[in-house]
Amino acid sequence: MLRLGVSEQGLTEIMAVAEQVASMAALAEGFRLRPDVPRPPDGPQTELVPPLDEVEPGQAAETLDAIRQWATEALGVQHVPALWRVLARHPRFLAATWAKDRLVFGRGELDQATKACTAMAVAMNLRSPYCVAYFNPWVRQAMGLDDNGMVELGACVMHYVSFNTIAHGMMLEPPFVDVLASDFRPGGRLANAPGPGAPPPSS
Amino acid sequence: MPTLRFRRFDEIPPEDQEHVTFLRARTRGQHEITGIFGAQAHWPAYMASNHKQALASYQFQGVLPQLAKEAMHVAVSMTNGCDF
Repeated sequence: MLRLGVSEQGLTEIMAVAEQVASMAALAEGFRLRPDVPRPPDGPQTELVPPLDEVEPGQAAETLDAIRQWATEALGVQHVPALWRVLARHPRFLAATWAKDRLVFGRGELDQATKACTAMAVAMNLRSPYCVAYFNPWVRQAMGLDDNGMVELGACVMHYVSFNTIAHGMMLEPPFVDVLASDFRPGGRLANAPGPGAPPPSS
Repeated sequence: MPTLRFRRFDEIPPEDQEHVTFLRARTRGQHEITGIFGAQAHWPAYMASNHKQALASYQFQGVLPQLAKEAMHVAVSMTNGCDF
């Protein structure tokens, strides 16, 4: 990432997407939320904590309105996804989490399409049916992916999981630690280190 | 410290040399096979198979920009607790 011109903040943005999706998946699967994108499931939406009824949003009304507007544009649904309506039982936590969600997934140094791909990859890696269904329409729209593009994304996830398993299983030590983006720029101490975007090996 | 000691190119048996040709080209002049390839080099056919899979996925120039692929790689690795 750093070699591709991303700064320290950009890398932190990726970490933020990863942990945001991981935390969403923990709640969704912990409460056994049933996928509700593109349409709500038949029967109860969760086995443990029922979502707040959108008709009676109480103190969460303003936040839920903002989420509904986003969900309509990004997910193509007319309802507030159950994950947010579960959190709406704690309006203050809902507002803080939604504000963080907008910051994390909004355009920063990295664009939303890159973040959508990242979110989908993490959702798949964490085996979260709820989050996979939730991010599916967003990543397709943001990155313009058709089914073939989705398989390209899935192939990458398979590769990363394979290599993570190899690296972890064989206890490989990290090749780079305590680095700055400037280390990978021309003239930096790691400018010629191998990796994506690296200059070809000299003959 | 890695679980297995990394292998040197000159320790690869003759019948497996074809599987490390691509790696020789990438690491000109290097004697030891290190990093993610080093972890697979005790089974060269497997390493080559993984490399071909990488070329068809992560390194495939399809519709996903390289930056998005790298971001996915970092995020998946983070959520897998991968130090490497």
